[in-house]
Amino acid sequence: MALRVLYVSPLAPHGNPAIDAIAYGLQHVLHSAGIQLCVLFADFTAPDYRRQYEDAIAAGVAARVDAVVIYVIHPSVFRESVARARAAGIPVFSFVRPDYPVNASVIYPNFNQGVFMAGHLVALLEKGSGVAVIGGPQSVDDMEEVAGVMFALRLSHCKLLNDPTQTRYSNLTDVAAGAREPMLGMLAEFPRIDGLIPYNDETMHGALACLEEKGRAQEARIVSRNGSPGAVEAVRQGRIAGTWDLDASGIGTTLGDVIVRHLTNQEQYEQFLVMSPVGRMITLANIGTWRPWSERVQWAPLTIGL
Amino acid sequence: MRVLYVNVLPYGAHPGIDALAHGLDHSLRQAGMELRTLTADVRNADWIEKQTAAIQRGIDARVDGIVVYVLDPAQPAQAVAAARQRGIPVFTLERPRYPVNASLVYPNFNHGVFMAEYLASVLPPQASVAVIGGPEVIDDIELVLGIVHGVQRSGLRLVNDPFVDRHRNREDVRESGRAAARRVLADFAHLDGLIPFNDETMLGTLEAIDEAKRSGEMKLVSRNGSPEAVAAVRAGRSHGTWDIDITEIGAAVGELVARVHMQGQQLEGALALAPIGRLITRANADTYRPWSERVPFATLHEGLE
Repeated sequence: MALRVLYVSPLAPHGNPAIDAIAYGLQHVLHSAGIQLCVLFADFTAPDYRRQYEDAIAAGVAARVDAVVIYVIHPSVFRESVARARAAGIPVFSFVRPDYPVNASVIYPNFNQGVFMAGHLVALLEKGSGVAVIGGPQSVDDMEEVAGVMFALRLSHCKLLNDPTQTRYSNLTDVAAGAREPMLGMLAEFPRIDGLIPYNDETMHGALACLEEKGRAQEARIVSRNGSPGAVEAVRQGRIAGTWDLDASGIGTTLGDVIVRHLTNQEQYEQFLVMSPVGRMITLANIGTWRPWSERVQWAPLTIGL
Repeated sequence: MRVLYVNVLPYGAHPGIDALAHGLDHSLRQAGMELRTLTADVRNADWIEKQTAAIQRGIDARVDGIVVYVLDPAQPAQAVAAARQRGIPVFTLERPRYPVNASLVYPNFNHGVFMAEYLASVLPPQASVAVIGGPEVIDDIELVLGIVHGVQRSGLRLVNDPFVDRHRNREDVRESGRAAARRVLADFAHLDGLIPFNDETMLGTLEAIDEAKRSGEMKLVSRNGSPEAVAAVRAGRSHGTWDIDITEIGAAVGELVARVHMQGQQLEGALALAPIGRLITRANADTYRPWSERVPFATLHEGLE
């Protein structure tokens, strides 16, 4: 009988293209090894997210899947659910490392990416330019990215206008609509914004809409993270200066490779760590070399449910 | 084919830096290239001039590639530009702000977070923890930022600022680590945990702890995974050392060089990521292999002849 892996995704399909691409990358590697991927969703912005997520893991245990993949938003949550799965002999793998034992985790170089994004932006700006940053949810990877952005800005010749770790400057939803409130607030607070770093591409799209609505679309140079098709299109149109392509499908394939090695007994992982790709900045200068995530791995429809 | 590596510390001053060079040397040999080293000791005030002069010597000797360890992201921009103008590809450990062919970047921040989180797992909530910071170089600053982030995120109580001179080991070696630890111990009558940013600092810290007769008071974790630090873990004097797999870091830079010279790839501003490594504790210390057993420690060729 074919091996079956459950991935509990933290966002519904089409909520964030990068999250989708991670799932497709994971599926691509598993399918190539003859392993089935089943996906359940537990939207991390929903009020009962934790219960939904724990129920999904429990459903996987009850269905006797061969492995469970989780996405760690907060490092300490799902400890008991994961421990139960592992006690039942089901290995657990994670995107982002939790602070409890799992078999293996893929780690993102979030801080490095934040540093590089800010470095790219400030190279385009004059001394003393004001840069605003829209932070993200209180998730491990987004907080680390924003820490890298802030670090690089503070060392630069530009001025950091706001504290993106504050809720009022953050998009807590991870999707475009969540950028509206913090962006409108910043536009009201800062009469001039020379540079803008929305922590991800979806936030960038929401912020661009606000800038255009207020007639300030030409004011700020903008970079964001993910390298999603929509953001690359914005680069092509000259609306933003760059998007850090974090190779979302590559994040999925990286963990997929580890799972395949574990399930086919090539390795037996315990608290193993592996880095995701560092990625690169996509700008007008290199946009011709960019390939959409959907062309990097096979985008077969995901199997939803167990 | 000769590749110049401008080393940052004399051989023997820092086991990790030595091991990195051996990893690079081994990787280049496997690809059919030869390593040459010149050393600009970063503990000296004129290290930037020395680094620049070493690169110029490499240009004059018509080496086939130059590897630079970036400590200040703005330096040595002009020397590197001169090398590239002469058609010599330049590769860096860490990423500078000036153009190079390829850079290997370290997940320093991640290391720091994981070290702090491990310490938190062996201490009670709100335990008092001090951090000894390092030199003003990219990788150590990012590491210490990660440690601070991890300490704060883990619910520990950070009692000091590891970016103030008094609580830093700016020289990156054991002796100055001992001096920094003496200052930290003098400032805090009791500590539950202490994170010296690297193993050399930790080894100096152990000496300072013994001098102060405070052995057993605090739990320690540090970074690098050096053989002496692993021995301290085995002896129960340190609780962990993050093995950054430093020979693989050297090897990874060698692979970037090989991609250009052996595979004919045109790299410009390319980035690669160093391995994440793992924490060595008493629980897994038996699986640790000393760096010298991971690659041959052949004598390095200092000089360009």
